[in-house]
Amino acid sequence: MSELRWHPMLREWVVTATHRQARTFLPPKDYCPLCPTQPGGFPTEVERPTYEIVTFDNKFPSLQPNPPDPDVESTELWPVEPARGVCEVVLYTPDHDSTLAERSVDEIEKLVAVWTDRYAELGKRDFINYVFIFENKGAIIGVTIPHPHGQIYSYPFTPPLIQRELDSSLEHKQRTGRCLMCDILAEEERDGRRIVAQNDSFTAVVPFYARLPYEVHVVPKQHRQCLLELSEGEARDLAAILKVVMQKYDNLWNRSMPYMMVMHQRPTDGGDYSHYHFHLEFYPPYRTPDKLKYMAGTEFGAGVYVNDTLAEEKAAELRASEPVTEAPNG
Amino acid sequence: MVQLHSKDDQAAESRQRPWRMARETVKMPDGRDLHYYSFQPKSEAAKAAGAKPEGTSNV
Repeated sequence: MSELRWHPMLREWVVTATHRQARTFLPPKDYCPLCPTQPGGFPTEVERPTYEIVTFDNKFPSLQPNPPDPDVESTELWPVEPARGVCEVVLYTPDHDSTLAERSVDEIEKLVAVWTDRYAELGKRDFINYVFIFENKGAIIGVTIPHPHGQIYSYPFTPPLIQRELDSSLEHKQRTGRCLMCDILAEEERDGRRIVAQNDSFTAVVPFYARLPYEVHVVPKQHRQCLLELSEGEARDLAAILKVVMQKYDNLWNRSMPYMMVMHQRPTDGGDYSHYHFHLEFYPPYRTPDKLKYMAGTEFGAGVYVNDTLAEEKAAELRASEPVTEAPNG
Repeated sequence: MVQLHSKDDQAAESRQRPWRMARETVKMPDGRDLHYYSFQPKSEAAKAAGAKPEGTSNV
């Protein structure tokens, strides 16, 4: 059973995908479906004995190019649509025991190229309006297969959080003539206390308005709407700063940091989104080495985040974590 | 302290990657699409361009 059900109170779609209950859950290492298939071994998702980077259609997709008809009737109160879209898996490496943070900048640069190609390819499809690239890392986040991988959900609509950012960016542009994220970045650079790392093309920052203690946003210094607009040098710089941020996370408490990493790009529906500024966001779930920041009543039920920490202090912690960096204003 | 800015004088805008990416699309046994991405040095990619397997494209 798979369909989009409209939430008339929040005015957003909910994906019902009951077949996903049967998906692979924490398989033993010898039966990892994301490792290459070894000669004489059990057949995995990848039939070859090795690979560099692979993407494929998710075996248990929330959205499908040819979805079944909804099992429930659509009404005026609650419209129902087929769950049309594409869900892909991105395998970063054949090395089962690795993480993205442990890959070289060269390898991450290649992954950036693959992300860019998938964004272009999926975005071309007439039923896809938004390509959402993300990684869930760590069992605490709900990852069901530990092999290093990310995902791409291609939606037939623009997701609500992105839509809010688009609306805010457009309103700011109309009011001031400037890009909202460009203004935010300029203010972060002027202040300097929340910046975690920088290179020629990107800034990593615990934003002034961080909702989570170790939330980091990675923002291009030039106004770019999506990966397709990055030069090859900028793509390399993106790989380099992602490596630095992930290393800092892992070195903060000397253990591999779980996180959600998401990419916010312009929609692919052909509209004019010149006011929008592409960026990535990291959401680690911990507030201390042994305490989680839960999505609880106020966050989940009211949409109001309570951050028990100061962005300025958490940014300083991350700057001090290897590889050590310094704030631009000392 | 690590140097996060590029040490050479070449600006990010003009730096070029030394490899070319190719995508090979195959059908999985149950009909799903799978894409193998490979990366060749640009000089070797030029030589191989005339003899690439079916389903492979430079991207």
